[in-house]
Amino acid sequence: MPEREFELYLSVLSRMLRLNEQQKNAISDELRDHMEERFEELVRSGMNRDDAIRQALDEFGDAAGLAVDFTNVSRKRIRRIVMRSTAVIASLAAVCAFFLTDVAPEQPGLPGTGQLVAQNSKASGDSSTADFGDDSRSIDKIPAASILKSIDFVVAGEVVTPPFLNEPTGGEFFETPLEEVFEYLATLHNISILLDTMALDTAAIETGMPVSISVSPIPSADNAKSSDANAKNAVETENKNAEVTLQQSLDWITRQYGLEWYVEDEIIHVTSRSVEEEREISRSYFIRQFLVDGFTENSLIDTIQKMTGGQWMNIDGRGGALALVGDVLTIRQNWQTHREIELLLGTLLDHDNDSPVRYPAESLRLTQQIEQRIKEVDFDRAPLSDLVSFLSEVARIRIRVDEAALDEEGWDMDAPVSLKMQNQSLRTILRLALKPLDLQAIVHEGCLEITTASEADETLTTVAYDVRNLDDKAGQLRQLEVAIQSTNGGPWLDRDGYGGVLLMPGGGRMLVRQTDEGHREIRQLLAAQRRANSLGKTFDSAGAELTRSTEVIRSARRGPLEKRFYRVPSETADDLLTVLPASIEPETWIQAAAFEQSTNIERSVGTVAKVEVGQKVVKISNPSDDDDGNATKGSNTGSTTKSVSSSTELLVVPEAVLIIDQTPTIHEKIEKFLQKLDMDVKGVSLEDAKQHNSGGGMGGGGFF
Amino acid sequence: MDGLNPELMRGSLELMVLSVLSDGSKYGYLIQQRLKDASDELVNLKAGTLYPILHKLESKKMVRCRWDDSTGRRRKWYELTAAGKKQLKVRVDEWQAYVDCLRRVLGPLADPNPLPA
Repeated sequence: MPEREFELYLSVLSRMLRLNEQQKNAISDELRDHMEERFEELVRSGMNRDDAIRQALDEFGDAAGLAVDFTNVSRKRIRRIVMRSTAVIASLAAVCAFFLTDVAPEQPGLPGTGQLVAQNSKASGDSSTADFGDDSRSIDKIPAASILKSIDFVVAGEVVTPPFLNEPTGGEFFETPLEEVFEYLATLHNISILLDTMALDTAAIETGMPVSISVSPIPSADNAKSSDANAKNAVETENKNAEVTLQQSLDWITRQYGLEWYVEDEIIHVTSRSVEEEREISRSYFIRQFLVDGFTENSLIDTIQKMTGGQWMNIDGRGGALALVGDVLTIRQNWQTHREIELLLGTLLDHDNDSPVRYPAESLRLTQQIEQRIKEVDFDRAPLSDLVSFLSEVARIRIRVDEAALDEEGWDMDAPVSLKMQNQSLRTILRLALKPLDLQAIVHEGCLEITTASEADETLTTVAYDVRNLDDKAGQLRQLEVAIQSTNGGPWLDRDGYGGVLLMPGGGRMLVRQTDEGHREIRQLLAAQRRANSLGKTFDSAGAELTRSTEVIRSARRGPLEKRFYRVPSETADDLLTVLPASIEPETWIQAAAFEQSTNIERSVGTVAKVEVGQKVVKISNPSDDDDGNATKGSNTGSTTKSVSSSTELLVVPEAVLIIDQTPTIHEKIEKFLQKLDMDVKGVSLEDAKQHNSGGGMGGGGFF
Repeated sequence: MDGLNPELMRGSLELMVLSVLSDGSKYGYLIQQRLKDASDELVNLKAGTLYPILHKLESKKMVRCRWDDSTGRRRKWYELTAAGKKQLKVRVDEWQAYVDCLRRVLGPLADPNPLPA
């Protein structure tokens, strides 16, 4: 019997299986049965014994790989959900989390809100039903902000996001069993929500797991106080902004507890992440409008594959696939990826502004809200939950905690935070308070979320930036790409092997998939770029044309501007770029500093820019021979008639030209200033340059 | 054609295994043989690929198993659960929809009768 070889293989495999003895034995028994039967058949077919043994074993592949496969199937993630009802939570509950209760109207047959929230008996039920001011709300109202307009380009396959997902929802859950949370939402929206108990079981998530989350709108500060009619209108507008949709609440709950969801036949299924990931469906997208819009087939496919979270067979070796025939792109992917694709395509058609693909309105609002100043924070080794409750209430912002991620790194809501500061932005406060715990606050799924730094690094979102104002022909898009990738902390897939991706697919769009922090840096860079552009400071790298666009600047000029060219050594040029505007009539220049203070802009009219023009060979004469006091003379100007003495050295100096737009008076001052610096540099106007060229290249001007 | 494109096949392996089990319980080796026979030897699933799939289906409760010692060796038999049967039907329908869709998309390219040159 060939038992020895088989047993050897099986024992190697067993050692590598991270399973219990019983599971290991079961796998060994099963595989042994297969090996022996296969071996017998091979021998029957005439193969010699050694070859048959080898063949039978070969068909199982290497033991290490097989062990990984088996272990992945069986391993259950041990989850530990800790929700402790501390005295602090209970006392805060009355002022903060609980007074919202439930914004949706009580409907007959709904599970009573009390039943769902009152499990914390300390929460005062009466004070919690604060006046929310809008009992007239009905759940069939669909918020305009997140209506999907993308259905048009789906030509085959199920509708990914049925309209009911955009219904406003509400609910306060405190240690409510998971299944009851979904039961409540299902009744509220008159839909079916099915829990995939088998998948949850495999992922070691219990349907009775206690869930604490608020999916009710956060009321504005005035809301609680105001009662007169005028204020009420304002409040309603505010509430509309703060509305939470059904899909948003599903995203939050599933994210917080490590689950996933999808829709099939208008039924919402809640399942484990791995089951959702493997459940692929096919849909076809009609893409002609994107081709008309400046994309190519390749850039669009590239965009879809790199700007969504799904895995792809042709890139990752597993996952979805796509096929393009004519104008129809058929994609096989899991539901969540299709949802993202649909949102992405919708965003690409929308040409207005920079727009996050997911929850654009909510995300943009949050990026502003997070900059608001908080008067005072004073926490000394207080539990994280205290800080979250406090900030959330003071700033009127929902702050969720990614408990699944915290749990993995051994943190819970009791993790200690210490911070004392005054009048700092919410963003700064969160950053400083969370850093010692290696946690971060990020904007995700239209909500401010506290998660681990490693999870934050892996949570990439896609934003479509509007770059139509940049000139592609002048290479500005490429420059911007380089600028972003070199100044942004990343990580970037191209450079670091993992992380973000930046694409310029055409159509005046720049698509970036990056972390929340990465996007913040890009926003800053683009804002600076746009301010500069709007002030007419764009500089065409190919030549020597400064563009001045705004009439404001034109009318504010004190005398006609003249463009003159100053040829200077490259290393000095950079210094001069800043020294000249700072030293000579500073208020007449457009400078970076002036962008910040718009009051200065109208008076600031001059511009200076630098362009590299290659190299010049310079003769450095022995100082004693030098009778005109200048240390350098350009050999390529032909202006020197003196014979080169033996003590002269030749130097190659990179040269640059400063292009300065200023009034003649200032030009004179610049020349004097340069002379003081021992630089014999004359500003040359375009006319001068032409004359010099036609006149045989007289001193200093012949660089055209 | 020498075998099928593994990339194309990969997404359908679970479906194929489920389908082989639809007419009664089988053990691993038998499943492998049935796939081979039913596909005119085009689907030659390696044992190292088959067993993780079976175990995954088991963990998802699509199949259940029982042990049989009567052959002298311990043998593990698999059969579809109710959920597995349902899943199989869903997957078959999905697959059918996909094929139909692809056929529509491909149009004349997928015409079984080649065009005259």
